[in-house]
Amino acid sequence: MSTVSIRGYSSSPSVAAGESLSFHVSCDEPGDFRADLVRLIHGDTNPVGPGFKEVEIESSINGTYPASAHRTQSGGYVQVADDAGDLAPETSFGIQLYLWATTPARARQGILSRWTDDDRRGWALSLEEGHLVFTVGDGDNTVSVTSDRALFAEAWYAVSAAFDPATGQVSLHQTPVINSVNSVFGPVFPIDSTFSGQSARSVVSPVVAEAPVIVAGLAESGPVDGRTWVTSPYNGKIDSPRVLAYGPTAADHRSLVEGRRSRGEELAHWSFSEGTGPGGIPTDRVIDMSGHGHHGYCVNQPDRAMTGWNWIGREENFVHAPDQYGAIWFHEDSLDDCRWPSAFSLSVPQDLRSGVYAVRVRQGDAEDYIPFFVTPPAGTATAKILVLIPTCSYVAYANGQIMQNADAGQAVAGHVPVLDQRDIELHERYTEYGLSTYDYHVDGRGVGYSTWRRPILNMRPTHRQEFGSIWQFPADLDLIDWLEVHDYEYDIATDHDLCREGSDLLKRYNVVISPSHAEYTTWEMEDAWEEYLSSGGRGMYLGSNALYWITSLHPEKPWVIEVRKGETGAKAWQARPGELYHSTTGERGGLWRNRARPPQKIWGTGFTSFGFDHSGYFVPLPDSTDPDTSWIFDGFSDDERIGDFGLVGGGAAGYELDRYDLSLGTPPNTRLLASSYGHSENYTVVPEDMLFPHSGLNGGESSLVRADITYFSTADGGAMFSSSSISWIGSLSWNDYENNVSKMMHNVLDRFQSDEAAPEV
Amino acid sequence: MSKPSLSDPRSIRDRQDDWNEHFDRTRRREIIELITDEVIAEHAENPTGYRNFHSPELQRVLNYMRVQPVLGKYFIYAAVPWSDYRIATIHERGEAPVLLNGHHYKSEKEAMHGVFLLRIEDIKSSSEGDIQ
Repeated sequence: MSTVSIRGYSSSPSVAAGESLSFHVSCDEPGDFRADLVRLIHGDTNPVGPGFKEVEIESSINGTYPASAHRTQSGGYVQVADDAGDLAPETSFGIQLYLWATTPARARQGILSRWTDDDRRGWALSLEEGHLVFTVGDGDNTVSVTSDRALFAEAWYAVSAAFDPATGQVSLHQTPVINSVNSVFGPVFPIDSTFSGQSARSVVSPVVAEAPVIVAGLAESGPVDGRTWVTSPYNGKIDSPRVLAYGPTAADHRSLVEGRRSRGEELAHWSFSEGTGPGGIPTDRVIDMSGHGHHGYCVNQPDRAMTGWNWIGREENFVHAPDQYGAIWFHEDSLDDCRWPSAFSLSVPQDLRSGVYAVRVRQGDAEDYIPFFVTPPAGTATAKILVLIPTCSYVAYANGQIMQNADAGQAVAGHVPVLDQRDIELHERYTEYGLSTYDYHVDGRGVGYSTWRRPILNMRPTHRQEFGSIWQFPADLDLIDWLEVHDYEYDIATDHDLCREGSDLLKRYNVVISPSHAEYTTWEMEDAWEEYLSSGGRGMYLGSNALYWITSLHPEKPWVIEVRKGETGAKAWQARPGELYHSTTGERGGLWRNRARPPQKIWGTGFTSFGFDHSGYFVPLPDSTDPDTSWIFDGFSDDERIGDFGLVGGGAAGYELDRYDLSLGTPPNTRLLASSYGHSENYTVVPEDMLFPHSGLNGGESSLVRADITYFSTADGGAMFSSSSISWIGSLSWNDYENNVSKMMHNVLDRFQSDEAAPEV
Repeated sequence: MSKPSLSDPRSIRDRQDDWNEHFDRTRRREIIELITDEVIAEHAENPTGYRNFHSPELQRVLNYMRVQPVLGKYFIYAAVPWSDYRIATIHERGEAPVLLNGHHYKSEKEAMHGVFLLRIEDIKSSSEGDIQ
């Protein structure tokens, strides 16, 4: 289990020919590293299949570069510049805020500070061994007061602290402010967790630490090369932090408990909900309401639009009641960008063909592939076929560690997982590489934001997912390989391109293919597909569980996605009450199905079941012999099993399955060509189809556990073919590409890429 | 029994652990009864149930094994993919997994059965002290 590595990422998922993107590489070892551009064809190393395939490409970036190890700042916080020292007064001052700690007894955590931790200068409110501590230090001496009541986790408290330079004393007040909905327990628990106290006199005199104000952490030291590094990250919510030009008294603290502003001047008052509008709060910016202009910004995407201390539960949409959503939820393991310096940039030549590429980096025995996608020159198409790479879904799953972290992981997989060196590296170095939307932060909140800008170890061409097969990116290369082997000309674009360009992108092509698992989609992507298909476009949906979770791209940082999982669906976590709306768009999160856009409406089929022990096969249904659709079965014999073979679970119907359902919007002219058998008890019906749960909702017993191959035509010669199974494209290369899955793909793709109208049904 | 503290969260104990311990002890007895030579042979032959679903007895044994807490759980480690698989246990995030000595397998399926046999040993040994 070697731990020496070279890792990297690109600045964005895709780049158009004629444009450029940067690459960011960190090496554990000093010296040099080698970089080469390659085009990727096939990733699965399964000896039954064609094996790994890449093509080396001549490029100006090919060469040797100096190696450096780059540090990653993990953990979310707010930083506020204060170069003038306004927030470190020499006179009396104080702070007030509300907090809801999630891991109070974990290691030391900074809550609100203007402090350098290496020389202990400035002031800081922190959590130490479960207790609140307010400290003032001048580099020689410190004075502090520690609450004698340890904080209860996930309970709101009002907190006031003060420093009196005349006596060198600090004081601290903490009072629980628990209502029926804002904390883990309610008012019926007779909690005893109030504290008021002060320190003895001291000789500490206030000094200006060489650090910004940090909310949810402590500055490690003064800036290093202009950058402040933050340590002692805080886990939990903070609401309405203020710095006061006076020391709050017990009476001032009572005002805070009652939700009233106390007397006197505020030096800073950060309202975390200020800026909320119909489009949410789609920004890192944090506003100072005091009038002194001490605005700040979030680092590493802490959770915004979170219920605050005064949330009363009558309104669940933060856009409608921003005054009750004044909290940010911070996590020590959140990450929005590794922020490594650029190692080199690639200017993509105008004539570089669109495709799936990677920069291969090597240092000694260590190697990494940094995948990215090259589209045709902006606004053009160079083929009649477009493969739409589901980058939103890749980001959602990026560095997922379900099998390492979830008790139920092996039950969901249906077998013992198989981990490799990359999984081990992720497990050991999770603070450097960040989490996926399938993971929990260390404090128990599901991960709602995920970023492209980090090494994504499970998005590497030869990676096998923990549950024992290829998945997403390396699986989608199965389709690329099949297109290459059969000399189809195709272009590549990504979800991120589709979000930017809309249906204009799709309309340049006769057929658009979605590969194995486009689960995470934005409103704009759904619109684009509908507009394309209803105006003569043709689609091939070769996966399952697509168009499922409502997803947003961060407007300021499109490499970051947001999801809020709930209130039903097959999900790793569920958004807390009152927190189902996306901060970055203001829209309701959860399933598209629950916002009247089930996937059946667009592609004909939608998610129905999943299991990962093995895959089944399809049997043809009466529509397969209908003259309108029998062309899809040209070359087939009667009642031939379809896809009873493959590299993903041993069959073309497996892992995740979609079904035809008129009640969920399958177009009524849709033909049901084939459905699948062979799914074990480990395949269960998805939660959104379970009303009263009961036994028998599993493979072999429930008719809902199946994948459906469907076809329907649309206006102006358009059409949609769906194979509705994640393992479908894993069968393409079986028997040296001579098989009936491959045959059906030829039958459909040859029709769809032609300029003639698709057969009408 | 101690009273739950109203002032010190660190003294609070989750009483659900009492039930979980009781329930698990009961289930282990049930599972041990189900583990026969036939069930072991069935798993050795086809550990994923491919094209021949597992018997109700084997499925129930596997269901029990698969839902155990993840920390300390066995997984298969692909030391050399497609030729050398080992067994390891997972631990807290940030901690290295622990490789078990002496367990090398040529395929994922052989390793799956290796884990199955280890889990049977664990269930039996953890039940030795139970009051029957």
